[in-house]
Amino acid sequence: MMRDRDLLDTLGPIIRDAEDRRFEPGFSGRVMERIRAEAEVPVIVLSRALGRQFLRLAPIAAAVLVALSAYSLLGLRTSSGQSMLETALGLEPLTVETAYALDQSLYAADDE
Amino acid sequence: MMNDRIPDEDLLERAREGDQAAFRTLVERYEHVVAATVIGMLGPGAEADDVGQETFISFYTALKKFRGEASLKTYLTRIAINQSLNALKRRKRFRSRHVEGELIETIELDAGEGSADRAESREVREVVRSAIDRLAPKQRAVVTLRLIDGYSTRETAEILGVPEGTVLSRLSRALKRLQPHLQPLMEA
Repeated sequence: MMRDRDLLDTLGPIIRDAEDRRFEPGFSGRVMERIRAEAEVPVIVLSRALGRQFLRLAPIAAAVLVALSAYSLLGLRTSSGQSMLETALGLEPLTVETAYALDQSLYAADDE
Repeated sequence: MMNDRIPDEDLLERAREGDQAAFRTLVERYEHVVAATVIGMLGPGAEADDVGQETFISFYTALKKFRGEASLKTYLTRIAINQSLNALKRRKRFRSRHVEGELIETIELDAGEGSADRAESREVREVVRSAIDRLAPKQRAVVTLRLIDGYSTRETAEILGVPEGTVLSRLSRALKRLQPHLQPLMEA
């Protein structure tokens, strides 16, 4: 059984000299080309990140838009002073006269 | 080409300021160091070339962090070893039968060409490569640094970030594993 030191001395040169460990010609050019290419990558990465954020936020933004539009529409008043919802439901405009009229119709119903 | 006598420190300073020609000179100056490590770990080919490029790209992005605590050679070797270990992990995960088939075909085609000497040296290369490929990645790293790159046990320990005793035990196990596969070359 060979000792580690002997093995090292025997196998070392065999392993070291077995192959030519060099890159193909033009290696530094390939490195510089990749560095230049990767310098452009941050712009693409930012653009993709923004795209992903947009896709995530777009449905939420659309829902908020619909809710605000609905709220805004409900708050609008017609020339008679009714809201859009009241008009859509066919409700009488609420005035002092209509309130009294409703009151009287309720009393009349009780008297009967 | 930039003057070979310009010290590394000056080239580093200029590279940090964005001088690409200075960085290119550093690549040319140290590509043999990175090649020895990466090809020692992975064998020759496109993968090793790619990992070599990634080593320098990684160095380029860390230029401002490098303050010369270690020598540039040691620093680059450390990056090269880490990149190679990552490549070995990727290789283990994704190596396909198609790639192995192509490799065998290339070796067989080459065997038919050239003189007897070339065939013999090719055979030696294949035997050594095949033996190294049988080593676990950590053992392979020690063999590459100690036997191929020629670093001392202490330097190897420093590069790998492990105690010297670990380097010695990994080397011992690696040599014992290599021995039966390299026996014919030892006898020759």
